[in-house]
Amino acid sequence: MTRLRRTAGVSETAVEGDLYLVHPASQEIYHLDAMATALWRLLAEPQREADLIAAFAEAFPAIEHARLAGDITGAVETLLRQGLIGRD
Amino acid sequence: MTGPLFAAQHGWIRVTGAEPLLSALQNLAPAWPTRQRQGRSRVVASIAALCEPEGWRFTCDAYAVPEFRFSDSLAAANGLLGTLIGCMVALEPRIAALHAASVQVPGGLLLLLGENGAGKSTLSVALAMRGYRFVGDDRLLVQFTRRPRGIGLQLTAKLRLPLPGGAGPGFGEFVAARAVLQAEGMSLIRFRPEEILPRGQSVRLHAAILLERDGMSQPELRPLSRTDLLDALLEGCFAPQLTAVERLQALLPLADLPGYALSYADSTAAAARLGEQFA
Repeated sequence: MTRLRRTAGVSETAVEGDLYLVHPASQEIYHLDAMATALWRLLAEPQREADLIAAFAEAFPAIEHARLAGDITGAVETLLRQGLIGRD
Repeated sequence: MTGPLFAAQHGWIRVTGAEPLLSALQNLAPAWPTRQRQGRSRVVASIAALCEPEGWRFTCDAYAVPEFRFSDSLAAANGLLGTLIGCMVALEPRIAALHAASVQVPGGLLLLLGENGAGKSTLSVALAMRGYRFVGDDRLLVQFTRRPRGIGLQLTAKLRLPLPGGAGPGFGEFVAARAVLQAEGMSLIRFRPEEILPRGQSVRLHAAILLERDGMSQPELRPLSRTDLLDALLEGCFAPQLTAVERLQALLPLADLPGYALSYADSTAAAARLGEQFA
């Protein structure tokens, strides 16, 4: 299974606990929501998507697994579309 | 190449091909210093105005001008004005243009942010009617210093016609007394010298208001988070000479300003609410 990793050269600025990322090629600025911020932090090291879901499931045991997995997959797709992360 | 010169911070910008637009441009920016002959003037950038079958467009050798087309002459003159401001900004390392209206209150400049149609122009004119010094209705130059400052451009205000019903009594008369031109659904308002911040004069920024027009009967002012204010500033910041990271860093001190969201329906009532808050 492929791993997800941060795109090289993305710059990050923390403001009041929120993260702003700048894509090095497009020069677009992205304000990450709470879930995307948590994913970005987990991706300090490359991870499989299943491992990300497992980490969230452990942190939020009260949330139904299918819903959590759907939210994470959606957030991962957004980060991939924005070019902020990639797959190995 | 010949064409009139327009003052920038450290030299002059030459504009070619814009002769049919210069009269309308003069109405929009009556205080912008110009010269007809170069003489010893240092030309630091050039703008070309191109009249093509699809409409007017502009190019500049200091930055990549967005590919907008303008069909009527007032809109084209406004496009040329935007290109001149963009060029001036592109030449300066520590200046940006904000898509914002502004008036001067006792503590400094109030920024009025919001999307097109949020009421920036009407509210800034309504505040001017209450005696606050007008700074701009659509564009403001901001100097990035530790304590950011706004710089006056002394441009004519533009109000869409018909004037909004919620503008309140006296607004029409105030506008009519200052209207210099009504064309293409717009009224151009030229303020008297004592009513407007002079071109080039800078004043500290005091607070920022994000405008949200809605159907509420009473204006409501509530605190805005630092990140919501930063998002609004990023949305309306033009600084082609800066990288995205530099732009973000430059805007952080502005995001430290007291920020508020203003929900309102009636511009006069909203101006009165802001008057209470910032008296």
